Amino acid sequence: MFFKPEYILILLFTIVVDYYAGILLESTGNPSQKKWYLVMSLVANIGVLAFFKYYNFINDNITGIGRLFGFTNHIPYLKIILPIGLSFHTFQAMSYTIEVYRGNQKAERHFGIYALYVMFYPQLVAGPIERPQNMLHQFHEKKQFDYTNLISGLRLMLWGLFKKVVIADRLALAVDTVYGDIHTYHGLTVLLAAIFYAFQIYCDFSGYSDIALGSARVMGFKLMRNFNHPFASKTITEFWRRWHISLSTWLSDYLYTPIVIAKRDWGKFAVIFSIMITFMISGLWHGAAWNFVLWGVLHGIVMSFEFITKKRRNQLAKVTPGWLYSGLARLFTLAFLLISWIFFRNGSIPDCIYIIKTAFNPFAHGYFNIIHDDMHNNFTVLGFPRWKFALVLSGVGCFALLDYLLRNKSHFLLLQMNRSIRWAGYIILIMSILFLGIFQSNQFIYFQF
Amino acid sequence: MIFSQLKSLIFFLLILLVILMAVDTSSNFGVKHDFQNDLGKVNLVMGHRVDPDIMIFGSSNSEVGFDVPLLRRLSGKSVYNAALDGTHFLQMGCLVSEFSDYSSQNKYVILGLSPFSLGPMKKVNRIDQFLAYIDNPYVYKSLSSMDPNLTNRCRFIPFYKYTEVNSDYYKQVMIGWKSYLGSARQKEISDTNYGFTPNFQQWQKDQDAVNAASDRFPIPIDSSVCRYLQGLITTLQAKGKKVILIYPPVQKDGQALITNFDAIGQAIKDLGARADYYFDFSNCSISAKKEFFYNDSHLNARGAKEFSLMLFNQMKGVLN
Repeated sequence: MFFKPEYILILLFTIVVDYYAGILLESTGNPSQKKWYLVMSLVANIGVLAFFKYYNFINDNITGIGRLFGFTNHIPYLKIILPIGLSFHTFQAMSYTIEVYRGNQKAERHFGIYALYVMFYPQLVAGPIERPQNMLHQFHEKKQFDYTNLISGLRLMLWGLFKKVVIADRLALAVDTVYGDIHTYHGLTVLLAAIFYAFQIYCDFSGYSDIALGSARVMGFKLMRNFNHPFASKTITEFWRRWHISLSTWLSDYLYTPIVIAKRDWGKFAVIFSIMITFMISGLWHGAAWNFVLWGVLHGIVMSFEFITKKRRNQLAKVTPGWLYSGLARLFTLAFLLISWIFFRNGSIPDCIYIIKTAFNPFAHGYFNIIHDDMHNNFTVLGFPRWKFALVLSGVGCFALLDYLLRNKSHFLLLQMNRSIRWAGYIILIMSILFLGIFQSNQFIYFQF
Repeated sequence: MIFSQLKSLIFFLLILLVILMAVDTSSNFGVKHDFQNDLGKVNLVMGHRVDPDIMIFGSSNSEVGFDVPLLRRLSGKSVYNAALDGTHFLQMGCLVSEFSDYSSQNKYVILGLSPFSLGPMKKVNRIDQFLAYIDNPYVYKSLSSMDPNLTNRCRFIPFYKYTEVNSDYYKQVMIGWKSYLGSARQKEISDTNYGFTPNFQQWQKDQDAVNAASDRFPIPIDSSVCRYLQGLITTLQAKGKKVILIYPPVQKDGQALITNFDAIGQAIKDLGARADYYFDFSNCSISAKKEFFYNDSHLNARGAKEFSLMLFNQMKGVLN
C-alpha cells in the first residue's frame, strides 16, 4: 500500500472506463450488448486490482507448485506497490456499473461528479464502500452551511480520533511487542495480545470510519454507517451485520445473493456454497496471502454452521435462560473472532498454530505468568510497565463495557447529558488525544488493503 | 443566523483554549524546574543557574568520562559537566551559545568530542528536553538546523509539541512541580556529581562478540559540522573564555571498526588548532585496557577516574 502521484493515472483510467461504461449501459437496449459493457468494465476494474494486488501472489504460488512438480517458473517477480485504497475504490466503482446495469441507478453524465464519487476524499482510502444510490444525488444537491452537521461531524471525528490514537495505537504497542517476537511469549500473555489485537483493529478501523463519516458530514454529506457495536454480536452472522457493514453488504448484494439465486436448484447447499465463495473472496480482498484466505474460510465454515443449525439454536434459546444463552453466545462469538484474527494478524500459519496452542491451554506450566523480565530488572507485561498495563487493561475493559451498553442506542451517550457535562466530556476527549495519544506514525490497519 | 449558531461553538473553543493554555503554562513551568538528569542540565544552563570555572560540553562519552568531583578536588576549581547523552554538537551548540552569553565567572570551556562528533546529524535527540525553550533564538536555530520541519511544528503549531513527547515528559513536569513546591525549594545544584554520570558496568560480555560480528564502517566527516564547531570556538573565545578541545579515549577494538579513524583524528586535531588548548587522549594508554570501558567508546567509572587524573596532569599547567 502506497501513495505515488503517478498512481492517480490508474484511478483516472478506471474512472474513464466506468464513466463511459455507465453511459453505454444506459443508452443501449440490447441485453447482450449491455452484458458486454458490464463485463468490459468489471474486467478493467478487477484487472487493475489483480495486477497490483495479486500478480506476485499468484506468481509465488506458481513457483511453489512448480517446485513441487520439478519445473522452474520463469515469470518475473515485479516490484509493484499496491496503490493506496485500491481495493476500496475498485469495489465502489464496480458497484456503480452493476447498479446501472441492473437499472437501479441512472448513469452519471457529469464526469466531474462521477470522478468525485470514486475519489471522494473522506472515504477514498479505506471506505465506507459507498453505493451510487446513496452518494451521487448528494453531489448534485446544493449544500448550505448546517450547524447541526458541523457539530455532529466534529463529534464523530473527535470520537474516531480518540479511538485511533488513544486506544488502537496504544494497544498496538503491546500487540507489536508480542507478535513481533511471538516465540518469546506464551500462555496468557499471548491470549491478552490476541484480545488487545481485537480491540486494536476495531478501534483502528471504526475510528477511521468515524473520522471519514464525520469529515463528510461537516461538508454536508452523509456516508453509510460502517460499524454497529460488533462485539455485542451473538453469532458470526450477526457480527457481519455489524462489522465493516459497507463491505459485507457489498459482498452480499453483488456476490452472495447472485450465487444463491444462480444455484437455487442446489437447495441449502447453494447457500453454503455461496457463503464459502463469498468469504474466500472476502479473505482475498483483505490481502493477497493464504492467511487471509484461511481467515475467510474459517468465517465461511462458522457462518455455514450457523445457517445449518439455526432452527436447533432457536429451540435451544427458548429453553435456556435468556441471560445465559446470550452470554454464552457472545462468549463463543468473541472466542472465535479472537482465533480468526490470529490468522488475520500473522502471515505465518505455523506461528498462528503456536499462538492458538499456547493461548488456549490454561493447564500448561507457567500459563498465568505474564510478567516478563528483560534481565535488567525491568518487569513488564506485554511491553508495558505493570502499572501502565493495569491502566491499559482497565481502559480496554471500560471501553468494551461502554460499547456493549450502547449497542442498542442510536445516539452518542454524551448527547443525552446536559451541556456542561457534554462539554466536559469533549474537553476530556480532546485532552486525552493530545496528552495520551500515540503519534509515532502508526497508519490505519485497513490502509494496507 | 450563522453567527448566533456558531456562538456556542466559539464559546466552547474559548474555554478549551483557556484550559489548554493553563495546562501548557503549567507543564512548561514544571519541566523548567526539574533539575535532575539531562533535562536538569538543560534547565540549569537555560535558566542561567550554573557558572563554574570550568564548564564541560559534549555527548555521552563526555558525560560518563569526565569525573567532575575528582577534577574539582584536584584543581580546586568549580567544574560542571553539562554533556548530554546522545546529543550532537549541532544541538548542544544552543547551550554553549546561551552559556557563553550569560556566564561571567567561567574561564574555561571544555568541548569533549567523539569519533561521531564531526558526522552529519539530521535527527533532534530528546526534543522534549528543549521544548520549554524553543522560543529561545539559540535553541530554535540549533534544532531547526537539524530538523526544521519538526522544530517549526513544535514552535508554531499550538500544542503540537505534546504529540512529540511521551510519559517521561509528564513525569518531568511532576518532578519539576514537586521540586518547586518542596520545602527545600531545590533551586540550586543538588547533584553531588555535578553532571558527571558514572557508569559502574564492566566491559560488556557480549561486546567482543558484537565487535567480531560487526563490519568495519566509515564515519563521514561533514565540513559544515566542522565549520559550526569552529564558529562555536570563536564565539566562546570572543567572550573571553579559554576553549579546551579534548578527544577522550576510544577503546582499541572500537577504533579498529572505524575505517577512517585516523582521518577523524586529523580533522579533530585541525579543529583543536583553533582552540586555545587541544588534548588528544583517543589513543592513550587507557584505550588498550578494556577494564576501563563498558563499550567501545564509553569509559566506566574506573576509566573515568583514570582519564580525569590523566587529563588534570596534562591540564594543570594551563589552569591558573
